[in-house]
Order: sequence, then C-alpha cells, then structure tokens
Amino acid sequence: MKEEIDLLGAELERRWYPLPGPKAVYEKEFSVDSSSAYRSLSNGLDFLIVRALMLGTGGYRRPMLRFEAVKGISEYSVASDFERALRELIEVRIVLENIGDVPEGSMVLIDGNLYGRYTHALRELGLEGWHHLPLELLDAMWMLYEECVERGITLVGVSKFSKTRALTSALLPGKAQRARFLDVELLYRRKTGETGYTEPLLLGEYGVDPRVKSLYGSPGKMRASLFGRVPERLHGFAEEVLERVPSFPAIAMFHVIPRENAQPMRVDIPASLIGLDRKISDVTPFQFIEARHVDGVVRQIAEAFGGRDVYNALLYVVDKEVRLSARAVDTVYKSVLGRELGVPIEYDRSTRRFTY
Amino acid sequence: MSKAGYIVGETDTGGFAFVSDLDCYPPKHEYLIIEGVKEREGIGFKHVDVLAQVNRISNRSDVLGDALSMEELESIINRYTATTKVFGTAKVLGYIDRRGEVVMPRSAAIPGTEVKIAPTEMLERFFTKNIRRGVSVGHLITREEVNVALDPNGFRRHVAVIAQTGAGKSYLVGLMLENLLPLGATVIVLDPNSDYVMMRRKRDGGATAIADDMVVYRPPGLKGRRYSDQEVGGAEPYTIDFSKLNAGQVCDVAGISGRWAVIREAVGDALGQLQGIYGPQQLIDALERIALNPATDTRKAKAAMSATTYIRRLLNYKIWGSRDIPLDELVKPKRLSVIDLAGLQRNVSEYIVQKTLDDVWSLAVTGSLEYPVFIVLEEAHNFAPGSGAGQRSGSSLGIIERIAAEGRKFGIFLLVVTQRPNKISSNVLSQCNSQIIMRLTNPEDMSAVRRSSEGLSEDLFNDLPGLNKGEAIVVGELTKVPTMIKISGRTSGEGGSDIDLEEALRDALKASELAKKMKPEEDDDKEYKTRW
Repeated sequence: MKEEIDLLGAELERRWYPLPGPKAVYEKEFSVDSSSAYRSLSNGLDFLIVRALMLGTGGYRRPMLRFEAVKGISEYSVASDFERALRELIEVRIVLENIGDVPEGSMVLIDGNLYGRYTHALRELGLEGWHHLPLELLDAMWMLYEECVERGITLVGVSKFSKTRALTSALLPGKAQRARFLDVELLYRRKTGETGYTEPLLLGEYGVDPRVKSLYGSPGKMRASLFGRVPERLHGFAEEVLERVPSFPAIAMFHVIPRENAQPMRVDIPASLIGLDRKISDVTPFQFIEARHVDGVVRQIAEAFGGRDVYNALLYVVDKEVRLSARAVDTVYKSVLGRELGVPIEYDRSTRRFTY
Repeated sequence: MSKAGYIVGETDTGGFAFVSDLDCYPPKHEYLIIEGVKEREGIGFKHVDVLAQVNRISNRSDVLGDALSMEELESIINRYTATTKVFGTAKVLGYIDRRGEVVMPRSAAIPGTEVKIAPTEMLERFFTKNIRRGVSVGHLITREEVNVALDPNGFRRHVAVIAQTGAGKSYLVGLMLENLLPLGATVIVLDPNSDYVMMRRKRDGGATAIADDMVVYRPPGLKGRRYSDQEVGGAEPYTIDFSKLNAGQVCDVAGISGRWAVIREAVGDALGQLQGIYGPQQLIDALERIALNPATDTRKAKAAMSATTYIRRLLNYKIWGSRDIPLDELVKPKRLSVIDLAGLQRNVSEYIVQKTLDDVWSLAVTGSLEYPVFIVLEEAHNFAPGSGAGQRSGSSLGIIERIAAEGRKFGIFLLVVTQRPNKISSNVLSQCNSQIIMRLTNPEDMSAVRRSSEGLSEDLFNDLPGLNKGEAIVVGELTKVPTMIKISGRTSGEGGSDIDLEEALRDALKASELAKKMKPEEDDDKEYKTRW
C-alpha cells in the first residue's frame, strides 16, 4: 500500500498544475440542477415529481417540471434508477430548451459528472414501459453536445465529491491493474494545503463495458443485447441512438483544489467543447491532454469557489433553489396533480404515516 | 387592481398570511382587497369585498443563509441574484355593508385566493366618503391619493393626541383646528408653549382663512415671548379681576397649601376687609394691618404676616386687571380662542386653566352653553397629572377629570394633547375614546396608551415606535376603522416648531468671535502690565 501511494504521489507531482491567475474567460455563466420527490398513492400508483432549474448571471431563471405516474415500483433500485434517469434527462432537456438564451462563449455548469451519465445510460431501465428511458437521455445528451459545439458554449459537469479511481489508475506505472486508492484519497494524502489541478485525463472507453464495445458498428445487435425489452415501435429510435454511441465525445476529466484545504472537485468537459476532436471510441486508457485546454474552466471554477459549503457559487444557488420541500410536494404539487387528473390524490397509508 | 399575492396557510376572520414576490409585494401598511369573500346572510350567502391591511412583510432566501461565511456569500452575490421569497400577513379591517357601516366578516378567506392592492375608490369609501363635513388631516400613509377625513362626531367622546416630543402633535392639532373651525366649532386652546399663537398667519406671512375667527389672549406686560403681539397678528389682554377671587382661589394661586388652615383663614379675614376693585397689594396691606393690630391674637398675627410672603409673589404675576375675559367671547360660535400661557408660573397657568374650565362648565351645566365647545389642553399631563406623575395634584385636575367624565353630556369636548401619557390622570385618558397616536418609544408611555385605548390592537401597538415624524394611528370613533395617516395640509404657521439649531449655533459662534475681537486690547494691556 505504502509503495503504491508513494508511486502515485510521485506521478501526481508530474501531473499537477498551479491554478491559473484570475482572468474571466466566460462572460456568462449558467447552472443547472434538479430535484425530485416520490410519493406512493392509495390506488397503487407511484408518482414522481422532477423539477429542474436553470439559473444564469443577471437574474436569468428558467424552471422545468415533470410529473410521472407509474404502477407501484416494488424494487428500490428500480425506483432509484428511474428517478436518477429522469433527473439527468430533465437537466439536459432544460438546457436544450433554453439554449437560445445562452450566448456564445458562455459556460453551462451541470451538477455531477458527465461521463457517468453516458456509461449508466448504456443499459435499459428495469421498469415496464420505461425500458427505453436511458436512450432518451443518450439522445438528449448527443443533441446537447452538438448544440454546444455549434454555439460555442462550454458545458461543464462539476462533482463536489467523486469516488472515481480514474486518475489513480492512470497514474499507476504499467497501468496493468486497477488502483486501490480513490482519486480523492490520493489528493487528500498528497495535496492537502495546496491549490491546483490535475492534468486532464481523457475518458473514453475506460468505464464502458467491454461487451458494449464489442457491439460497436452493430446497432441492431446492440439494441437487442442492451435494450432487449424496448418495444418494437421504438427499435428504430433505439438503434439510431446506439449507432452514435462510439461517436460520443470523449470526456476530459480533472480534479481541482481551488483553495488550501478545500476538498477536491471533479470536473468533466466533453472534449469536443475544448477544441479536441476525440471520440469515446478513439480513446483507450489512459491518455492525458495538455492542461492549457482547461485553463479557462479551471480559472472560472476556482473563482466561483466560495468556501466549505459553497464549493461552486453557481451550483450552490441552483441546488438550494431547485430543492423540492416535502411541504411543497404535499400541498402545492399534490393538489395541482389532483386538479390536472381530475381525481383526488390520496397517499397510501405508509406514505401518510411518513409524511405527517 | 394589481395583484399582491395569494392567501396561504391557515386563515381566520381577523387575518391571513400571503405569499408574494419582489415584483408585486405590497409594502407594510398597504391596503389589500379580497374580492368576493363568501359571507353567510340569513340562510343564504352573499359575496363581499373585504379590506385588509398588511401588518408584516418578510423576505427569505433559501440560498443566502446565515450559516454561510462572508466569502461564500460574496462568491454567490457576485454571480447570482438569489431568489427572494416574500411573505406577508394582513389583518382584516372589514367590509362596508349596505348602510355604509364597516362590518367585520364572519367568514375566513380561502387559501389560494388572490389578494390585490385595494383600489382608491374602495379606500375612499372607507376613509373619505360617507363622512359629512369631515375634518381633513392628511392622507393614508401608503396611499397619498386617498385623503383621510375625521368624522366630527368622533370628537363626541373626547380625543387624545399622544406622541413623543417632535413627532408633530401641535402641527396635527393646528391642522384639525383649521378644519374644525370652518365647520362652526367653538375652540378654546390652553396653550402653555405658544404653539398655536401663529395660526392667524400663513407660513408665508399672509392671513389664514381663520384669521378673523381667532383671538389670542395674553397676560399683558410679559417680557421675552417667542413671538411678539405684532407677530401673532395682535393679542387681547388676558386679565383676571383679582377682586373677584374668593379666599380659596387666592390661596391656591398663591401656593398656600390647604393644610395651612390658619394662614388661609387670615387671607379670608383680610379679603373681608376689602371692597370694590382691588389687587394683591391691597390684600397685602390688609394682611399687614391685621398682623400689626395689637388686638389681633398672636397666632393669627403670625399667620397674617406669613400670608403676606405668599401674596407678595402675586405682585409679579402679570395677569391681574380690572376685568376678566368676557366668557361670552370665548364661547362664541366659530371662534378659536388661544390663551397663551407661555412665561407664566406653573400655579398661575394651572389657575387659568382651572378658572377657564370652571367658567365654561358653569355655563354648560346651567344650560347657557349654546354651542359645543372644544377645549384643547396642551401639555395635559401638567394640568391633569396622574397619581404616578410624581408631582402635586394641580388645582386644575378636578375640573378636567369632571369634564372628561361628564362634559360630553353638556357639549364640552376635550382634545387632550400630551407627550407623557404615563403621567396623565388615567381618569382623563381613559375617557378619550378617540385617540390619535403618533411616534412613541418610551415603554411606560406605550403601556399607558395600551391600557387606555380599546381600539389599539396588538399589531398597531407594535407599530408605534416605527412611525415616522408626521405619521399617526387614529383609533376610536374618528374613523370607520383604525387608520394610519400621514398628516399634511396645514396652512397656518406653527408657534412650537423646533428651532433651527444649526443657525442658532452659527449666531452663537459669530457672537463669540465678535467678543474675542473686542478682547485683544485688554489682553495687551494685561500683558503690558504684567511685564512691567
């Protein structure tokens, strides 16, 4: 263990850069986040409220709301996957819907990592009627990346905490084995009290199931293998989306420590948005790119750091404002939903006990 | 009508909470309307428009919490305009029924109902219209376009004007008098600080509309007045015919305590020797004669001599004359009589107040008072002190309490003006069923107001320290509902306004510098002398 951490530490020094000086690069900044709430109804249905919010400098504010009612989900993991997929989808959709308001040269921040959205979306959802939902997410992400390239917008995913081992794995000499240390642990052990950022690492097929890679170029087989329960009427759509999978832009990932003793943040940027024409399928583990490519983003992120709680001012605000309070769900949204559906909404007994 | 928000949470007949936003929120004290509140009428329902007033507005940010450090806050504020949530509460004031009366609803508003800023026309129905010949005093605090007229009938239950110094009491009372007089009112102002003597003059110097109906009475020959007789547009002498006073009155005004029975008796004996028209000097002479008369017993002789000491004080009082003010003049209809008490000794002022009120009372109870009389009692805590006032009960207290208790039956109405409600007799203050309360911050005075005022609700009470100069809360019968007003519109000059201290200090500085310029020669001289 000690040997490994020493090796990693030595390698990290080679891939570590001081923060660039303060100089605004992106004139306008936007941030996106979502929240959701689940309620079980007395008629056996579950309803899910998903709310997204897009904020921007200068008082820009656009909300988006989605209600979904599904037959009672008994498995927690399925409910959790469904909720996460809907939230990720609505976060992408809200940017797409309002992309006309985002000027060229702007930065759009999304809470969470972008690479994970891609890898998680490569399998169907285990919920009847919603097996195709990850495909919708992939499709929307593709469209968003394309729009961002065309409009000169930088889309950035920021995670306040990440359990990835991508950096430590990349730093291991020989790269034959998976690192035993999380990236954050390495940074904690070696970079506490310092500021700076790691050399961006291109993530391509690093997190993609080898089974998936073997199906590149065969969208039909890919659909049958990964999305076997998608109804026939959606086969065309599914294959169209899956055909694009290898062409998704690789993700440049790095960690930033914006202040002494601050926790490192993970940052993901599609390579296509920092001028690199590198696709997922082009990149094999592990390739670093020059730090200068992300200088502007680092500068902006370091500047938006407020302190221990406000890891990023823009994302902190949107996180606070998008939150759905139990009170809002159980008074406002419940009655709105009831009115829309024309039936009184009653929670099941367990929910009532939980809520009140 | 513009939207102000939506009613939320639990409501009751007295008030409700609402949610608003920064673009449409109503300010504190603004009037709101809830349209079409369903109110039971007999076995059916009717829909009424209910007026309410905002008593609290608060903003909250879910983002900018107090757990954040300054650096964290700055990182946010420099980038985003965090959403501010606006909440408010309002109290229900009522609705106007078919007879034009204000009625409190018996139904609570439904959550989710939109509340709007009350339209001007509705506010006028509450605060301006339906009042015949109202006494205009300004406009609503939040709505300049809505004039507020006091109902003259509200004066029937006596009025108290209460505020701390500098809040604008005298301005308000002057304004009320300006507007009350044209209605035909007979007003007697007992004015210890020359606050009302300038009412014949406009601020620009011209004559006011009430100039011809106003008389200023002043004891003659008093030096050092703030305003000369000429400045106030002429003054009638205020004199008291000393020879009409009985022994008790003479002793009271001379400050001879009721416990000193022998001295008072000596005064009575001396008065018994005087005939025709006489003054204090003649009384002293009579007392001396008694004291020096060998036939007088020693005890009485000493008492008579002691009495001369007290009576001698009266020689300095400038109010003795050969005739009293004709009472008929004071109680003429449409007449404002200002009795300027400034510069007089306290017991003399008290005596004048007592005498004036006694005279008017005597007229009233004998049925000789033809028209209602309004008595303005400035600095009322000095003339009608309460038991906790820490001062002796004045000679005027009894008659003031009597008029407060019974005067309304005989057409005498008090307008009690005070800055120390805590120090005024509770028997007087509690009889003033209409109150106009301006800024108050002294807790004891606030408590006194609270005790005496039935119409002052908790939230209005809490608003008292927050009132600005010239703002007032009217409770009681002067308005249909408790009303917050901004006083304005007085045309006449003020006697009691604050001096311009900056200018006064500038004058003082000039005088000091001038004095120094005169000094060097003396200094040089001193220096010369010291040196040699």
